[in-house]
Amino acid sequence: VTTTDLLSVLDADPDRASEKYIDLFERLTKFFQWRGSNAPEDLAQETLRRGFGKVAAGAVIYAAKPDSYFFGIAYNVLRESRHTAATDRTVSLDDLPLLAGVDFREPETRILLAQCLSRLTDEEGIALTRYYTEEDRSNLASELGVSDNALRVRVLRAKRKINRLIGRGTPAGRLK
Amino acid sequence: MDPDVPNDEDLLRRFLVGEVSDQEREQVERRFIADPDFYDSLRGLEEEMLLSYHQGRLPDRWRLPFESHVLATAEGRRDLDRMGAFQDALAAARPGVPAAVPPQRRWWGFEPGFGLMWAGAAAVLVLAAGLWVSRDERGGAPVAPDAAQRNANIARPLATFVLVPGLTRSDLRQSNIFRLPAGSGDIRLELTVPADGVGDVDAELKPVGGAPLRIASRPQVRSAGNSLVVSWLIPANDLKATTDYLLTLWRSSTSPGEREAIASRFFSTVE
Repeated sequence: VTTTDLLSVLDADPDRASEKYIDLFERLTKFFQWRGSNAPEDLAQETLRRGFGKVAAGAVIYAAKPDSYFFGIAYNVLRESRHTAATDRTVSLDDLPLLAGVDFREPETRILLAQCLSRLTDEEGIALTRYYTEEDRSNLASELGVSDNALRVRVLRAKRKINRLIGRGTPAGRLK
Repeated sequence: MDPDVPNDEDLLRRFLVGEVSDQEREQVERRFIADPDFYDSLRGLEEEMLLSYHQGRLPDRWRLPFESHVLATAEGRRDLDRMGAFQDALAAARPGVPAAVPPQRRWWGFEPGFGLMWAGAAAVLVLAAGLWVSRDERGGAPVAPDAAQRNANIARPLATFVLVPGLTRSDLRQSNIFRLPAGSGDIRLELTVPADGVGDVDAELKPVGGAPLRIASRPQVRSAGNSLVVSWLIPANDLKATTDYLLTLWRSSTSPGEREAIASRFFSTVE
């Protein structure tokens, strides 16, 4: 079973499937982190291993949104993690997309950031820069004519875009 | 979910600081599993709380549970650290950032534009840090923006250690642990304390079981609602790797010569 085959359960298009895989990993990690789990990234990896392991073994995902399938596994992993270490490694994820967070202390990453900022739209770039460098973010939202929530989401997505652009181009973005 | 439709923000903030019932937790989880837009709203709010905390602007209502719930975990402290690094890098990369003006050391001083001034200064410091490390690692000419090259000779590298309360050195997972930057440069030790009744303050920094180190700089203080964010710049060379430190903040007593401890923070250094 190839990596592309595995990821196709998320989306038929390989590029979109890779993006969804990274999104899923991030959400699983946050799920475990917000639940107060130790080593949430390990538990997210474990969830993906089990899920894709079942797919590799021939399981068919009927859920309209495959995320639900993986979160169903995540609840089991969460329960087990509170009793014992979960170690069911049935499939290697070594060849799947890179997952680590970008380290902005790395000099190369800082230099790349300037280049990646130019890849954002004006709207994204202005929101991102001002959001992180000004203190009154509610005032910024008013000035831009959006709600506080809409500004936060816009900035989060712009930052995510930056992270992924940098993650594709530097060692800092590689899976540790 | 339409991003302009307001969420129950109070519920989401309580979710993030662990103040929800099991039923409320499951309600939020169901929504963010099923709805990516809702998940982004939640993540955006989390980032906003991290940023507000970093800026010393998170109200006490949220700051205290944020410290005891989020920052009590290694992942929470890592998120805060990453967010701070991103903020610094963004300020450095922002086109049109003015040339560095070293921030004035103020005593109890806080004025509009202070944050922007710091951002400008940090920009150059961060760019210089990039140059410095690049040179260190590559041993050749660095690849860096022109602005960094112009300003590299007027700033020193800066790393900020945000000292979270309630962490002891007895449990590695629950400690303030920082990696010392290689070579020279400055370290900003930063902590947040309640503002109530604080007058003149002084700090004592010492390795656990050792003699106090001399802190030559005056503390930098920012007002943040009912809190004060206090920080000192110390030369990185003053700290040794693999050492436990205790920073104690003292308040001058009404009785001359007496001091009263306001806060203390343990932290450990690694190479």
